[in-house]
Amino acid sequence: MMVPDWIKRLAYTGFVLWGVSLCTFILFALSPGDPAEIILSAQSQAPGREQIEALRHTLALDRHWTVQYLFWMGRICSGDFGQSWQTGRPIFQEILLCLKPTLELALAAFLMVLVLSGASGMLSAVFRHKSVDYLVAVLTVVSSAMPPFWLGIMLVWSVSLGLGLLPVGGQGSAAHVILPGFSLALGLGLLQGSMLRSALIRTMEADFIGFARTRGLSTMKIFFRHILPHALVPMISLWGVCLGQLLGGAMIVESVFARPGLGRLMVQAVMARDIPMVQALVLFICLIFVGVNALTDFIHWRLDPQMRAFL
Amino acid sequence: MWHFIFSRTAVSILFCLIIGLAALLAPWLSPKDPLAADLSCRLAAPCAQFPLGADQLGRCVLSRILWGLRLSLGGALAASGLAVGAGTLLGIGAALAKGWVGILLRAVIDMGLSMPGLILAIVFAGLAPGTMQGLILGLAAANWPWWARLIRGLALSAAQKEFVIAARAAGLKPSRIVLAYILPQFKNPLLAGASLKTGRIILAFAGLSYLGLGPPPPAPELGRMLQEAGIYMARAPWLVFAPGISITLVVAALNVAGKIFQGEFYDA
Repeated sequence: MMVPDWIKRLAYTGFVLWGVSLCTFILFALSPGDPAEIILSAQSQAPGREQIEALRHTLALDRHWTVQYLFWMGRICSGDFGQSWQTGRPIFQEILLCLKPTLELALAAFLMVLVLSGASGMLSAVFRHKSVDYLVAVLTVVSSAMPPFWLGIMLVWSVSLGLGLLPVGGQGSAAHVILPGFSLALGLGLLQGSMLRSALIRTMEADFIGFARTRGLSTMKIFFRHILPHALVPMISLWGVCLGQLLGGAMIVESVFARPGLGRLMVQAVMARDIPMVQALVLFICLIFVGVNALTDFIHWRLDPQMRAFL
Repeated sequence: MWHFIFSRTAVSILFCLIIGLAALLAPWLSPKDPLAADLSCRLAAPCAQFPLGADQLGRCVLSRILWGLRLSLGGALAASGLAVGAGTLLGIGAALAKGWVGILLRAVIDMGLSMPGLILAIVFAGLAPGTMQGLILGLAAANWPWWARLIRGLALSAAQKEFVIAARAAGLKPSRIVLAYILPQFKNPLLAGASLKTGRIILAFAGLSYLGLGPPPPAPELGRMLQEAGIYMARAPWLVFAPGISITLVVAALNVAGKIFQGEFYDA
């Protein structure tokens, strides 16, 4: 029987996501700390024994964890993420509400990574072993060692407070994403730039470039028509992975800029043992991450004839 | 000889040694008790008494940074060690085990890889929120999938080497083949990966304690110090400078060392 490759892959991905949800659930169900007690302590000073028992019963916490998990699976399969134990609001809505600022920030940072890595990689490859190249190398070492959230604090201090140019925090307009986006993107962008630099240099030394030169093509044409597209192909999967990293990094940086995003939601849910919320968040983020990876693999496969030959 | 002393390798090794020693000797090097508050010196600017200034409770920032480096480096090394150990075991297992065990181990690795590391770290750190152990566990959980994938790839190619096939043909025990023939081949990638990843872990360590998942408040943790200093930024910017710069220096030293182990800092 011939099953197409993409169906096999889809089935495997589904299996992996299911495994992730099971592992998260077991982790929280078996770890110490009673969610019912944590919820009630957050609401009143000292919850009574009966109160805790009653809440445990309504949340089905008194059942065995396998039963709880099956309940949860059943609800997910019918498209219902349930309510948050902390706030009582529907989880799906809360996630959608917080997804927007985080996604906005991650995408803005992603665009900046593209521009930064392209510019720094091309500059340092073209002016290899010149002062520009060394300057970029030093900048790369320094900026990739900086904690992005610290860079964010420093940018707020210098640009927002010092020069009074961009907003200190919050969200809404394009001006609000510039500082957080840049603080996320700088280190990663320059690091990717150094990868692009070595890919470009490797291509410049390839035989087909020497041939293009003997054919008498102009330097500009050789660089933009022959060297750059060739060197960009391996960068695609790197850029795809970096979108996932940015999503994680955005969760920390957004707290510097007081953006109400997924990071705050996630930390609060984890601290309060809000199991349905944690489960839904993990599943959501996994889906985005896996989806982006599959997309970059697909683009890579379409662009690189060598990869097509492998499959 | 002189050539070596001025080389990048020597400088970065020396730098790593100095930072390691500073962290190790923090109890003797730090001028004051990192927890001793003195409200009369609140937010004091850098001076002879407080070389890097004093924080919102009048605690010596220099002492807090030295102790903070100890926490960060210790925690990062512990998390790194755990991640390398777990990753190596699972990676070798996934590469060499046959049948269902191998497939299952591969699926477990793919589960770990299907999430951004920081999410895994937050979930695991939340099991024991606000403690050092929780944070170390979280960072180890975030990093083992990367190691497992690396080691699996290395083990697959290492098992194809002729001397390994010869050892297998000679009828050696599998455990001996792994220990004496396969593991030694990983030395360089392990060293390079370990220093690069430990740098990344130090960054994540600071970031997660900035979010409040690290050791609880009086502890001199660099990320937590940055978080507390945020409100006083306009009045006392040195509170924000010093911890950030020290993290940057440590991570930069580790990154350069990692690049040297990789042997590709500058492709000539």
